[in-house]
Amino acid sequence: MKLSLPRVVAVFLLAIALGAAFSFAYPSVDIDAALATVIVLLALAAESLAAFIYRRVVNRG
Amino acid sequence: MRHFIFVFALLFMSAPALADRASECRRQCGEDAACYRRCMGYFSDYRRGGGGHYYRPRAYRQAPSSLNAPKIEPEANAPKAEPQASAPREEPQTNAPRAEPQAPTAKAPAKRRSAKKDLARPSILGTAYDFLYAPGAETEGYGLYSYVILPRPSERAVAFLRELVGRFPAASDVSAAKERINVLYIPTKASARGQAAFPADAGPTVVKAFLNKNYDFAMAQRLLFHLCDKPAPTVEQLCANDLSGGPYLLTYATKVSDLSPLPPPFLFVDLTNVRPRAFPLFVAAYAAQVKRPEFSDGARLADFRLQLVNIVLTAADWVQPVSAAVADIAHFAEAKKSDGEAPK
Repeated sequence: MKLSLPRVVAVFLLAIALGAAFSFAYPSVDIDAALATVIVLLALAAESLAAFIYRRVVNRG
Repeated sequence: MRHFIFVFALLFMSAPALADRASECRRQCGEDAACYRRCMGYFSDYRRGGGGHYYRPRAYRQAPSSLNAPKIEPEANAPKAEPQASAPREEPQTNAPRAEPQAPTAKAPAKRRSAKKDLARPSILGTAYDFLYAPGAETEGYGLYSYVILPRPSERAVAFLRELVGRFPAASDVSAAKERINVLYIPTKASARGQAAFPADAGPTVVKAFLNKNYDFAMAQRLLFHLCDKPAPTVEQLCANDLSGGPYLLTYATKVSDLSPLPPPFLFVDLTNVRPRAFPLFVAAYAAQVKRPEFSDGARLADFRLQLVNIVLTAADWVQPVSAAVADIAHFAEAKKSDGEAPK
């Protein structure tokens, strides 16, 4: 997987958004290092999935 | 495109059957919305949890009260726990459409009693905890009776009990009418009679000391045995295990510590697979659940939001050893000045 700068930025922003959403959804749960790692992994997975779907759509077109 | 057409065709084909069922359910249940939902099968598969014994609450669903209600005769003194041998084996079944196949001997009177209680029960305003020093020593008159069942002392048990005593007030501090309170009994050894209520900010050491010295694990085990004596279908799988998980919460309309077997309906919350960090969320959901008119339906606890956070926290706990291992590999040492201050 080629990690270009825009993709890294996208993962970063997505992770921040996910973390904020989690904080709003579960205010009583503290986000520690392990939970932050999980959130970053989720953001990475979401970004990869989005990139995969985008490639498929572009190639088809 | 073909798939969409197929899905639409399926929907159109199933629509008449759904409409028939809806009209049939409405005819059976009248204005009782809960009965209608049960009849239509809403939530049924979701809550019953076909796959695995997970952290979903084991909520035994009660028969529709609207169907039973007109047939209730006033009973002077309903029997509490009838002995197994003296109870008649073949009891006339009620006409409830979802009559459970296994019928504890005390089922029919208790069912009528609970249905009658449902009709007359005022809504629950809140939950308070108290100590239970002996089986059957519960104070009469509470709206619901709940029991904190901890099979063994553990860090999870400490975290759970700490969450409970931090969130709920002691029963002695509650001024509301008893019938509007769900009392949460903590089995306690008789030698610790007169145990003072925990402070709201009780630390883990206080709770741990209570668990090790005063919590009555034998009584908690006995409560589980009551539950598993002719268990309801929803707790059969749990009862087949070694019952060493937990923590558990058992809620019933009357006191149960001297009642065996335990006839439905009851709410049994199994938190075996819930992460300790998620205990506050589950306890909050439990507190909301017992306020529902049908406290045993488990709707608040079978929430997607709770399941999602539990999965995420489980993943976080799996990640924890990785970060700990990395921390073991990479050591950072800061240089210090001669006077002991860190360099700026």
